[in-house]
Amino acid sequence: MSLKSKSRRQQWLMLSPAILGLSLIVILPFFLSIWFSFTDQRLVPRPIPTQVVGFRNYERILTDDEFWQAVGNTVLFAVLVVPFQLAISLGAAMILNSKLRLRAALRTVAILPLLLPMTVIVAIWAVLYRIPNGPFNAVFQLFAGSGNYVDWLGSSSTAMVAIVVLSAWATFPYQMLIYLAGLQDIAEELYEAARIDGATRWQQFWNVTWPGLRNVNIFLLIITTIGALKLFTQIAILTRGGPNGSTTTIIYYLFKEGYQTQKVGFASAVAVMFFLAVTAIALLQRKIFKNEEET
Amino acid sequence: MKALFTAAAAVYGLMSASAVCAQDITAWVIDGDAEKAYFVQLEEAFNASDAGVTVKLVPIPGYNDAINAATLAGDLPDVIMIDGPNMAAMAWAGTIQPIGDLLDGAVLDDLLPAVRAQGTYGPDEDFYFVSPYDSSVLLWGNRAILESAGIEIPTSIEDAWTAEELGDVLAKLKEQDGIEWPLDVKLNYGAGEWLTYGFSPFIQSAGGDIIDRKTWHADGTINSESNVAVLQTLQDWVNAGYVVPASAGDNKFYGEKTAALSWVGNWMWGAHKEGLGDDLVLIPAPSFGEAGPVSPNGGWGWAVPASTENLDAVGKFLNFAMSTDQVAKYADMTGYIPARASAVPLSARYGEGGEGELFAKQAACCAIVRPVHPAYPVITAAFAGAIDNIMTGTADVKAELDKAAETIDEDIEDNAGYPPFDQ
Amino acid sequence: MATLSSTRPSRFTMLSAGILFVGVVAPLMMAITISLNPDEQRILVDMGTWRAFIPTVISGQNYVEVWTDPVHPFLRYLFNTTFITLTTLILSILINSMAAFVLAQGTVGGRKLLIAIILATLVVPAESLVLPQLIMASRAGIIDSYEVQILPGVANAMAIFLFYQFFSRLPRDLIEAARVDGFSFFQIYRHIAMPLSKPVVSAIAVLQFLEIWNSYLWPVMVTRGPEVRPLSVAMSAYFGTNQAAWGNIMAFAVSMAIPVILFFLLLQKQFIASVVSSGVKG
Repeated sequence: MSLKSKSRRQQWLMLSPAILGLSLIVILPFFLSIWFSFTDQRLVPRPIPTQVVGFRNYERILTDDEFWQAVGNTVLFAVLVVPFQLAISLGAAMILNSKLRLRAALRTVAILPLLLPMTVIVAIWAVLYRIPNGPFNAVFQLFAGSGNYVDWLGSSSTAMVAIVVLSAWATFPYQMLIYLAGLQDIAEELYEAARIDGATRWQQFWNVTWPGLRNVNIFLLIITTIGALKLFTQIAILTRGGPNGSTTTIIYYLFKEGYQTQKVGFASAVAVMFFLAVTAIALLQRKIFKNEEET
Repeated sequence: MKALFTAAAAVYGLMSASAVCAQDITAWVIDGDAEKAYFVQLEEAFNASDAGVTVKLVPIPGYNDAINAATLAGDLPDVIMIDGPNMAAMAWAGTIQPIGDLLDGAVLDDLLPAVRAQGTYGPDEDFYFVSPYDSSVLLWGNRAILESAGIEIPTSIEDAWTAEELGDVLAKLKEQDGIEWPLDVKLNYGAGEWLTYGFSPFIQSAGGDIIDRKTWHADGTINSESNVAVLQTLQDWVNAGYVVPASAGDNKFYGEKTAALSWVGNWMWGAHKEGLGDDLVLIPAPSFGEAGPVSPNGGWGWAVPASTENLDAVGKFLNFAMSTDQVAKYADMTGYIPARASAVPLSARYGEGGEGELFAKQAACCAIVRPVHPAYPVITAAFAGAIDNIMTGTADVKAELDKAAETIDEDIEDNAGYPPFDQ
Repeated sequence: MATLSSTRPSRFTMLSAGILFVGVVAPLMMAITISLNPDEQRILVDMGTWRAFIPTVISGQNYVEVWTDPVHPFLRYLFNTTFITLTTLILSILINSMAAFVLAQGTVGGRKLLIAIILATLVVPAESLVLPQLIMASRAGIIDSYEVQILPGVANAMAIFLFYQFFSRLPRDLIEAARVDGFSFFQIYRHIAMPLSKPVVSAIAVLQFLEIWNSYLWPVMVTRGPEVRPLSVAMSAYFGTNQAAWGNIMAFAVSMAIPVILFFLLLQKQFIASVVSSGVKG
């Protein structure tokens, strides 16, 4: 055997576990998903045969009000949580980037939510939102008078907002750390030049900081949006899609139809559409920013 | 790296080695506060008996997901507990096997008729499921609060409150000091079986049902005018602030005592008795119309997966668990009604003159079994989902029931009518 | 190092810092406070007051109950999660770095195509694949095992991509020199490329650690009893069945959080660097 072909063999050996893994974990399931979406596949085998049903699953999904409600809720969540969470993250990053004493300690503290498993965070926030006398309602009562309370998670008008606040708290440190790195990459000279021109702090922010964070912003906008579209754990444990369907998200809908009621074929069609939507949104965002860059 | 794999293999081996011996059987039981002590007792008593079989009862947290995963894995234990109405779906799918031959004739003959009906699978008339208890739901009241509000408490099923009378009672109670929401209907249990089990009696009491039990069609039955009217009344009560909201927790009636009435089953016996003591009073199910008071029935019980082989051992265990003595113990320790006629008199609570007599009476006169059909998981999910939405106060009642009808009929159609149920 | 303003932080900054601190710490303090209080009634009464945030009673009773509950074997769950996480991380780093090294420095044909395919798989959200994965796992008979929780995280396109970027930038001369010295391809990977790649390794380790430690959707579908269940699923089952027992729930939550926090305090620097590098490069 020549040296070259021995090296080739070695290379294939090194390559194959990952290739095999990705084929089994991503590529094969991906095509299976597409196939299932055209059948009435069930999770647990049943005594009647599985059939090809054409586009029936898609037709049913597209005419199901609950699906559209889930889409609406998911979009609403993304639209609320992305700006809110990015604003908090940037604010926190700016605090940590100032000449504050104890800032390293504050940074350590601020990262903590990111380390807590979502299931733990959910339990803590269930107490915060409790009625009638959880901490949030205690604060509410200071303004609204005692005896009044808001059923944060139990009323359709507030449940999604409650989930937004919880979710932002749970994951903001990730974006905060990346913003912090972005802030530290902005040259101090730019601020000095701005100060010499007599710029106020506000002007410094808009003329130096904000443009300097452009790439970081694009990156965070995309990953935060995509993360938001996958909202599931908080919903599954805390509200189970309720009240009145106001927190059902696409992934929760998929889980409910595919796992709990075991309609794999139907849920696969949801998965295929979800995949198309996420891809479209990611491409769209990238394209918008590219165009902006060129003009 | 290698050490790690060895360690992993060792751990793995350790775990799978636990269920080998043929005379050892494993049974999965639900992880409920009310049942915990009973199962500990059952395990000890059976293993101490001279059956030559050892049973291990494993309480499983997150029970339904666990059963789902185990079914998929083809790795169910020898005996499982299932919720009675799900029996038909599991029998139809071939997940569980008949147990009629495993049980002693004496046990079978002694079962309450409703319990036997719940365990019998239509197509082969065989027995697939047996529950040691029956359940029922009625109105539990706080006598002190009711009396101070000047409310007359019905004592027999004949003078049960009508919907209208109950509405007036709630209005009166709402005005009482210290009452936040007068009626707890356990919305905190969430969109699960409770909403079907606990709420179908209201519509059945007005002559309705959740599905036509002859044609197995939901449309026209679940969304009938009568059902809409009943559920509209309930929704109006929610909007009037009469009903404890889902997120307010479990203990408004028996703990904080800011609710005066609670519509819930006999599993709450212990908690209610402890919380209210002598103030606890049992009130018959309200009547919403022509059929008079209706109560639900049934509950969790034993079933045997199709994969189980050591049926001898399993039979010994099931007969032990269903013995008069054990059945009476189950009832006493959990608050449920014994499933065997011979055990009822043994029970201090449900026998003649016992404080739970009303439960037993109601179970005898007014219980309606939930539909024994393989589509039940879908039927209950659809109905419970509708109730969940309706009871938030905002959803349109008729639209919710129409949606449920469509979901159910679509599923039955998708499964070719669940042969042979389409006959 | 750049900062927004001159020397001293403004009052506004100080105030914001205070709000940030309280906003993060208050919920955590509440969890700890409740976990230390064995009296459920008291917990409910105190909930709307400052006593919910500062311990006035200190008792380990809830913790003892949680750790010794036979139905919810906390220590077993902790072992499961730790074992699954560590095994996945080790395998992932090994397998993905090997593949990436071949793609970056190898000579086999079709590398460009493979890279394109691997990048394409990054677009597919994992959540949309769970049902076919579940059916495959069920056919393979590995439901309710450690394998079924470990395997999906092992081959990871993101990890391959990060390693690939790093290995592509290794100086050609270095590789060439090693080859002249008679190193085989694998030896170059093992003795030269890997030792240099510590920053990438720690970045991937941290990212995957968070992902696996937090994963919920997949484990909830593939685990039945407590034997192989991870903490995240156990926590939600515990939360579901003991809704009234806030003291115990919080003791469970705190017990679950502490190992990660300790781990983090030890490796804080690497942790932050990793998150940042994932952001900048990803």
